[in-house]
Amino acid sequence: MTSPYEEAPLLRLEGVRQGYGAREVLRGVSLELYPGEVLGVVGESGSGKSTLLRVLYLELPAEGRYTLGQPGLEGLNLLALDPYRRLEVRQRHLALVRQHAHEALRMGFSSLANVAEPLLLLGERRYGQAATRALAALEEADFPTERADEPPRVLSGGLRQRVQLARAIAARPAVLLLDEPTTGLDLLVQARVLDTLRALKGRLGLSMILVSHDLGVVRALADRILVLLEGEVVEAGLADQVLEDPQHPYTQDLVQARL
Amino acid sequence: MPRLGYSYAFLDPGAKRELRRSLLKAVALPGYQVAYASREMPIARGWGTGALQVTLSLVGPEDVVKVIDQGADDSVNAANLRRFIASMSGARTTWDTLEATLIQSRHRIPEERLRPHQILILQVPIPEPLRHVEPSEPRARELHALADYSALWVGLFEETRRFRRSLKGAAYPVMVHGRYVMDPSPIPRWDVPKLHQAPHLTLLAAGREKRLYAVPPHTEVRPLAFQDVPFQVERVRARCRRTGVGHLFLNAIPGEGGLEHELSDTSVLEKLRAGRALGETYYDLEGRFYRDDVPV
Ligand SMILES: Nc1ncnc2c1ncn2[C@@H]1O[C@H](COP(=O)(O)OP(=O)(O)OP(=O)(O)O)[C@@H](O)[C@H]1O
Ligand SMILES: [Mg+2]
Repeated sequence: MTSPYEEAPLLRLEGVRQGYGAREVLRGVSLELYPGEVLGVVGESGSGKSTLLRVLYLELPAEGRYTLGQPGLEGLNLLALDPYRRLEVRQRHLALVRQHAHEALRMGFSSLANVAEPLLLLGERRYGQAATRALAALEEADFPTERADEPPRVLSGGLRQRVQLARAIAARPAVLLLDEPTTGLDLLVQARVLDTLRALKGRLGLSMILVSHDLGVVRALADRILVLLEGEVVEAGLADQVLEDPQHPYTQDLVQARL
Repeated sequence: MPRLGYSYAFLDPGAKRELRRSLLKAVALPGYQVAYASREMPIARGWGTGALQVTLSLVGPEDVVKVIDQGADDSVNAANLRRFIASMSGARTTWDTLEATLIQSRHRIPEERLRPHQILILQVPIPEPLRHVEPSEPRARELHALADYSALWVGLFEETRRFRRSLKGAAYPVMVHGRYVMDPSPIPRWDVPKLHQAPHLTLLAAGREKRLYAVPPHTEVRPLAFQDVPFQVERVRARCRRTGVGHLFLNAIPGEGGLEHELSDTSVLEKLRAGRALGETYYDLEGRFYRDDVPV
């Protein structure tokens, strides 16, 4: 795909392959993310979306090239880094909102502590600063801050996702990765979380990769859309283009299925 | 004279060599837990067998050995260990901190400042500072390897949020040489600052868990604490019922008129009662620590 933007990409994947055992799940995925945009990734269950995000989050090893246009990382293939450096890059530049909050949060700790964690991880050693910044992040995620001391264990699904979101943006990552952030929430709550994401995109100019099997969710936020089918990118383009004039038969089915 | 019919200092030469190799590795990697082949001892695991093995692997006939349990030389457990070490090695024993070359201790660091030629050997029940946040041993080792101590910081954050301070009393986690977080054994907070830039060698051993680790002389040892909520040692507003001293660590003892207090360090207690001079202490009469780069 030719770049729709003037700028250099913030993130680039080239020919990434990943498999569990002998089964290949990602079969040569290439993509780019530009500063300030939301890239939507759609595909049916099992197409490799979560696997792709975990590779992007440097949580899974993979073959291929992965570069981030961040100071100090220029030209570096992140997939070739040792585990220590990989963790460092992840902590400093990336954040992931997972589908299931319990996989990302410490359910027994307060929501505030959960949000403060990435700040502490990056070396914040002033309690007051950590607490203030965590509260601010909760507010940005439209979380009712008077409930900041409650643990995620006692919160509703929608609020848990807001805690995850606050935690993800607290340290101002270069790239925010979202894996089905609204799946499993009822429609109204889902719409509110999408509103928050849209506001955050506008306010913070966050660059995001949003994964969903729900074309509606992706339509609501994405500037560009990429369609994944059995671990391969079968279509990519500006959101309106893909939605109004899908080229690949699979995308056509997907768009039709929604109407 | 050492006891006949046994290897010198009880351990066979192979066991001693293995222990010393592990100790060297521990000294080379301050704060890092080294696995070692903990031997069976003629006392039950959990009663100081790890530290005992370390003491036995180091002791020689010219050594002077002091053994304390919570600061006391006269507890049954300390006396048993001391007698055993002496009979197996022929080493002299003492209660006087300044006279000792090897000090094996459970849960205390003496109040008189240790000097470069002395070795402190601490008994450790649980060597893993991440145990309560990460029960899986392989995972905890991975976190150490990655220097990922966020779980401890989150815990500290949570306690500070709720109670304005850390609730951790004994076994307060410390960062050693800016690299490994270490459990200093269940010494009170009062003793934690004594490890920072200490001129003596500290060895820590857990017999049951088969781990030993070390703080070499002149090593950075910093308690995990926020800059704006500094680490603090215990302060008791009380005086020792036998010496009147109020500036050193006191044990609370149920007495006739409620709780009474007594110096925990028997070396200091005996010297004061006998009118003998104390060595330099870590804390002065006003409770000030001897180094000013350590918050207490
Ligand atoms: N840890 C694993 N071990 C083995 N196979 C796995 C593992 N994780 C995922 N897979 C397989 O890899 C394929 C892609 O999984 P992935 O979770 O990436 O898909 P997805 O597009 O996120 O699906 P969904 O929409 O259901 O979340 C699936 O066939 C899945 O069964
Ligand atoms: Mg998935």
